[in-house]
Amino acid sequence: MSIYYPIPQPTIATNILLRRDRRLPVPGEVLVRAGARVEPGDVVAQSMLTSEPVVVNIAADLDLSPQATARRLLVSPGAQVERGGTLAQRAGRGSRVSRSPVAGTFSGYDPATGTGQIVAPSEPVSVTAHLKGIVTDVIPYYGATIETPANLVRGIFGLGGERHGVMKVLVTSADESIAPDRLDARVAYSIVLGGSEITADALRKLIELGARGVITGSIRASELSDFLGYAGLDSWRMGVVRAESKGWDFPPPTPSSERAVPPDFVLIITEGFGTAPMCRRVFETIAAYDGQEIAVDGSTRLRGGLSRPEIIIPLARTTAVRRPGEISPRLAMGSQVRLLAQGYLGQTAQIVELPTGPRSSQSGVVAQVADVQMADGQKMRVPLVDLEAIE
Amino acid sequence: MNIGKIENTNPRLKVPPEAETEASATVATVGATLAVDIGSLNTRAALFDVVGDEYRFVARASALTTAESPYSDVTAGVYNAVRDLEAITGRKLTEDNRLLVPQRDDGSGIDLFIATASAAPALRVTIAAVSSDISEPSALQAVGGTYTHVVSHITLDEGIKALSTDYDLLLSSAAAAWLQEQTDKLLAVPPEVVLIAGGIEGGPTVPLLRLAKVVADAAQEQAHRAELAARTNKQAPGPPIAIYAGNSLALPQVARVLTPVAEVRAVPNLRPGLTTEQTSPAEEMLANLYREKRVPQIPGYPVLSRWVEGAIAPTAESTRLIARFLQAHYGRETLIADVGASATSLFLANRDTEVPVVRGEIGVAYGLANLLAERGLANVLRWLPFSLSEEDLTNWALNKLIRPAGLPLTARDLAIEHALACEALGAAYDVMKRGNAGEDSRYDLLIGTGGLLAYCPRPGQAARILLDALQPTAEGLGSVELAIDTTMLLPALGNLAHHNLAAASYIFDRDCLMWLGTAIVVQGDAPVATVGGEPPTAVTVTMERKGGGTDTIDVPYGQIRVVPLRPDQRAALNIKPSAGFRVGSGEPGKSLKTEPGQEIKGGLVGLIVDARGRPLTLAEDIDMRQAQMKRWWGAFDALPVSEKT
Repeated sequence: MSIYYPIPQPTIATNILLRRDRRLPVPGEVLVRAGARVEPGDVVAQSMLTSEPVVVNIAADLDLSPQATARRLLVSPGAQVERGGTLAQRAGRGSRVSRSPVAGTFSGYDPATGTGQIVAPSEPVSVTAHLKGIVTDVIPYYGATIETPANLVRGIFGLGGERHGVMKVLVTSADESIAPDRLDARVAYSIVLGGSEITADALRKLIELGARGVITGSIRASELSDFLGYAGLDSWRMGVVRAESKGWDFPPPTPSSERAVPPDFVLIITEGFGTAPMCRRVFETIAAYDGQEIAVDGSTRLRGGLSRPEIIIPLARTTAVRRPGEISPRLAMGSQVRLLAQGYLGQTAQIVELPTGPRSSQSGVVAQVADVQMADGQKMRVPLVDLEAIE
Repeated sequence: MNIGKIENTNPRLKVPPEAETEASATVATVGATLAVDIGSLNTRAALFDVVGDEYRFVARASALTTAESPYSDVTAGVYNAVRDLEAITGRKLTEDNRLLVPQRDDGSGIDLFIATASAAPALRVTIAAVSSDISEPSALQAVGGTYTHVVSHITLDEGIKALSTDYDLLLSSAAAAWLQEQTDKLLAVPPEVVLIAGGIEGGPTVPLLRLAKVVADAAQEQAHRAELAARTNKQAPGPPIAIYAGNSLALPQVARVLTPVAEVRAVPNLRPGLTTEQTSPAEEMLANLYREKRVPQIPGYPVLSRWVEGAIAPTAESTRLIARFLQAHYGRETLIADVGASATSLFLANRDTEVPVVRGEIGVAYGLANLLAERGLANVLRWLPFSLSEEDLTNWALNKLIRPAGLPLTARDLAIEHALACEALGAAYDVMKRGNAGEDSRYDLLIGTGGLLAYCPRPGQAARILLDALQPTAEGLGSVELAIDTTMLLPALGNLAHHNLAAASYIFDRDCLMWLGTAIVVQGDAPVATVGGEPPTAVTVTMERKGGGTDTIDVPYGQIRVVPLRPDQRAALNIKPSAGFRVGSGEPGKSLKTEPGQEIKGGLVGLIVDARGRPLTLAEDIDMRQAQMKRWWGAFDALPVSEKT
């Protein structure tokens, strides 16, 4: 067995100097300058996404020569066409139709090749600061680097992309769940903090009341399935590219036509599926900033570019901060650990013994293990892979 | 029938004489070999070297695979595993963060570094077949040869049977609607490869043109979407590669339709005639595509490929080679079962056929969501000796999916993992069975590999998973030998065989397998419980250990018994099936016994007498089924500690 257990990224990093590159997908105009102070919603850079013309082989579609095809065109240069709109038609027996694969402007027909071109309209694109901070560098034509002292917490999975808003704590402890009947208009525009599980009803109520997102400990698979409008276990299939995902986005996205959740609503789960409470250290780290503006990103990918959801709490102070690389909690004697094992999610313990070499764990599986003591005094032997060191 | 046909007289497989000679010869010429296998979760490194005057396995180590961020480079995991190996062996294999090559006089360093990998996700494949009953099963068989994930199926007989003439098939409005529907189906889950199959040689070409048109339309749209995505620095799958494995007469026309929008690779027809099948060329083409498209996508591939001798081989190919080798060199009809985090595979090699089934999307960590979707929750729960709600099982499985590296903390967690492994193997075996016209496969050696089976805390747990999931019938001999690749050397040795067959076979013989024992399978029909609740005795087995000690056991129908027989022991058997029951291809009720010199061999579990019949009949009632499981698990000493009372 391995003697090396990497801690890829600490899930709780406090007082760090966080830097984020904010980039456009295409070159454009940068609207901020180095040294400028930015708010999360400030546009850092903007551009236009111009589309390359889409070439349609109309003659091949009609199975005619380019010359014969020219006589059967139903659109003239400059005409607006819809996606699926008819460009040309061959009538009679063996009738054939050539349709436009995109919406746009028909720019012309080339009688030499039998092809036509459609130009899709340009679309504006911009990137916002996402964080409240200072521009430390400008990335010419693309964007800027934003820096801020912050606390960073990573969840285990989530929904939605980047969002920011005022954080509101809705529970009094890490093991309390958000009750839908206690939600009111005060959650509007905010990102709320819960403790343990959340239900589909509570999530729907939050959306109805205008909340921007929610961070909580756990959710039952059935509740998430209900919330997302999944059709049974088939909807959980992974490795299938759909709805513009790479196949390992989690939870698997539903096609936009069937989407039951607004795309900008963010859900971040810190522990996992079931009814587990939020890890107390995570809860305290976030809850201490009740009423402050935070930035969240719920996007999750399990493979092919692993990414976990993030909660960024910008801090006001500018001293005594560390680089993210300086935080590397280790599994050592006396370390505080978070349990990642099923049935113990959300619980913390302390390492009281760290045997050398592989040992038999509670399940009988032989692995590198640690003996930990839980808050209630209970001792357990746990494989190291089921532990996460916290500061 | 004579049970003496059981050809397993030696706890170790004998090395063919020529291999023995070659192995001795290699001792002088080959130094230390480092073989790594990079899985989606774990990277394993094994060291082989000259020990005394033999070429042997020295040690094995593992580390977490580092394909994902923040490392995004598998060489970090390889390096960690090698450092672990250095710690275990006390030998220096690296210097200044580099492998020490070649081996030095003081024994440090290595001469050969080889690698296998299954860390890359499976190829997403769509099967486009003319008929769902002839060409589609052949296509399914072909995709089983490498890591593939069949994301959709299109068959011409699906909703288009009413169209009789060529004109209808290509041009009628019903055909246009069908075309649009199938194109949408393809676009909903875009594949990377479309395998087009159908039509016997010289048969009609229009059906294949029809399929080609669907693929061409979808490919054009996929290309367009990919282009749009690329403009915004996003990614979308480009047009698929079309493997054409249909009627060769249609190839020129199909190519005309497809080549403007998709790359076409033609292979010989999968079904040249109604009764003939040739899946190897398509299988080989898919394996080539995996090597071409997927293996180089493994993060860190450019560096790793410079380190290794030869190509980085897909793990499945190397393991498959071992099954083939066991059949060719030892005459053992072998089934290798590999349960992995992302993929589950079976490799069968018997006298008549050689069949791989690689389910690239089904596994016991990354592949769990697909496993549950395909098999359903009830099928997993039936293997548990305790109550668990469907909701709890779903939560458990999804937690494992999002934290795949975790190990089971409690005996209950371990039992759930084992139940999932049973279903993963069942999913692979169902495909194998479909390809064999619904018949069970014939083999007398069953080898389990992969982390879950290799790390079973108790040997009986591994034996139970293999027997319950695959339900060997042991047709012919009446027995099946069970073994586990606890060192997880199979892929490494399969790969080593490319470089040094003699050394690989020599090490396989001595260091690779842990023998679990021999299972006698009793078949027959009887109600599980007769009047009074007592099932009839299905078989009486007398086991006479060589060197002394005789045991006689009566095994009732529906039950299983284990008699200890150490790995170094052999025993003669006298088997008396009751009326209506048979063992192997023997006649019902007819006694069998081993011939002198052909005694069965033992293992860490021993002699297993499986009188549960085939297929296994599980009780409908939940309480009765859990009691049944407890009995079966108890027989193997496989019961979770918490369930023993």
